[in-house]
Amino acid sequence: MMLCEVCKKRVATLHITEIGKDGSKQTVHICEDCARSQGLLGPKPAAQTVQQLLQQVIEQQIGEISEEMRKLKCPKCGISYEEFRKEGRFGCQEDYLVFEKALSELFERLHGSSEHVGKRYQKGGGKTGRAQRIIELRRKLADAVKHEQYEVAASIRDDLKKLEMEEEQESKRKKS
Amino acid sequence: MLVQSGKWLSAEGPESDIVVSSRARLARNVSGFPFITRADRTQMEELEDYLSGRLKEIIKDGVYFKMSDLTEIERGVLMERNLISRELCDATVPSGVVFSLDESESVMINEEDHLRLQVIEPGLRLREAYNRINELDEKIGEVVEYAYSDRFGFLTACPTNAGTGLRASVMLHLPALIMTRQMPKVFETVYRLGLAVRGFHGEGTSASGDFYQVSNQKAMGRSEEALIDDILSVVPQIARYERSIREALVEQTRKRLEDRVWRAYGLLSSCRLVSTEEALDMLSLIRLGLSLRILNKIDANIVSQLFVLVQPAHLTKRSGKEGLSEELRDAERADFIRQYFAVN
Repeated sequence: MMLCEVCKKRVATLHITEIGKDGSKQTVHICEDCARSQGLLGPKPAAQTVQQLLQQVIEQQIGEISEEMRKLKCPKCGISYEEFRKEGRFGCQEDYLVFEKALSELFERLHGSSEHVGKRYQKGGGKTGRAQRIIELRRKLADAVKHEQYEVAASIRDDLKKLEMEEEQESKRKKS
Repeated sequence: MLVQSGKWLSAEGPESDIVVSSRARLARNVSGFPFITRADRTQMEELEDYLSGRLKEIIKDGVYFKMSDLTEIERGVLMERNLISRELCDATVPSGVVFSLDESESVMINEEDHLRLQVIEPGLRLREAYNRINELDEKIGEVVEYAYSDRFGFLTACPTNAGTGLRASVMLHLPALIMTRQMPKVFETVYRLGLAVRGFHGEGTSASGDFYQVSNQKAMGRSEEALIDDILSVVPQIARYERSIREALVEQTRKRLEDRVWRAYGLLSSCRLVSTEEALDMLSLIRLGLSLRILNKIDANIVSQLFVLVQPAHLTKRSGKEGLSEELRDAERADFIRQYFAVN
């Protein structure tokens, strides 16, 4: 690691090679801050990465959590509104409903909008919760076998087979 | 796989003198399961098992890698090929990736979201990349039910991705703009349009080999088509700017430019030690020289491949020697490039 030649404190992240008229090379090792103060780089953009932008937005709001919002907690995944603000990540899809009141402002700041206008997704119909059901039954089956409840396991296996057959037939139909 | 890169890194496609590739990515979650931040290991394992099985059917000639089966070096290889993100590379939770044989389609399982779809096309073909990913999205969305609300769109773990879940990006090779310190101007234009500029491997990475990615920041409030149009409106401007500077360099400092390009070629064809950074810098000059017809000794596709093949994980995996000292690794890299130049 190389230190900045100007401030001699920060790590030099920019290595600028100047080529003189005679072809001689001179390399300057400099940190971002010094490069900016010397006019080698433009002013620092307000937000450099999405992550930093998000952190800023969330920090700006953190002081203003109302009592009402503070009490909010998702009954599904258990994440509180405060935790969401601190971590910057939702815990499950229900959070979008539970925290809906506060989300408009957050999305307005992040996206300039709080309404989805893109592609619509049609739920239900052919794409019911079969996948979810299969995953659930596979777990139940494993549990039943582990606890040596073989009768329960057998009946789960029958249900599971039926669903898996349906799935297989459907994907075959699509292929042909 | 270790002696060739994915087809998206070939030197073909529209505007390929400057635009290396176009990429679309969609973030999706399966309804009824907690997001990765809150899911327990069993839930993640179940999701991975189920999703990998279905994805192998949906993606033609799909190959599946479970992260826990791979060594650190193998994960690095996948990352250097842009098949997985740094996050997945470092993941300790049950996760994996399914990708097509030509590496243009891939789906990461249990990254930040349950599913991260990706399609890469060579050159400036962002609309084509989106159309393909949209098709893939339709197929997966029929098999599993996505977490979705009419108001907020596709529901993602991070609020920055909610809405369309789309991150569209174009990778640009901008050596002349960097050489002449014009990048701050480019950054300003791009930021003003609400777009982002990132390095080769995405967020927080540096621009190795003079590559920059331009991508959308916002994901909600605009349609997928509008988001893509934003990027397509700015990329030709940047490309024109880069081209005009290249022409000016040729006109005003022709000999000096020729000298730099040929020295880069000379260095890589005879070096005995070379670091990743130096190799990428030299390859960048050679790529520039090829597009300006200063150099014709080598095929542009070969050079494009080398940008990936000289990186540390590829090098280590290919040589079969782990834990080499820096000097020996640089020697391996130099040998590899010389041989590659000699046979191509």
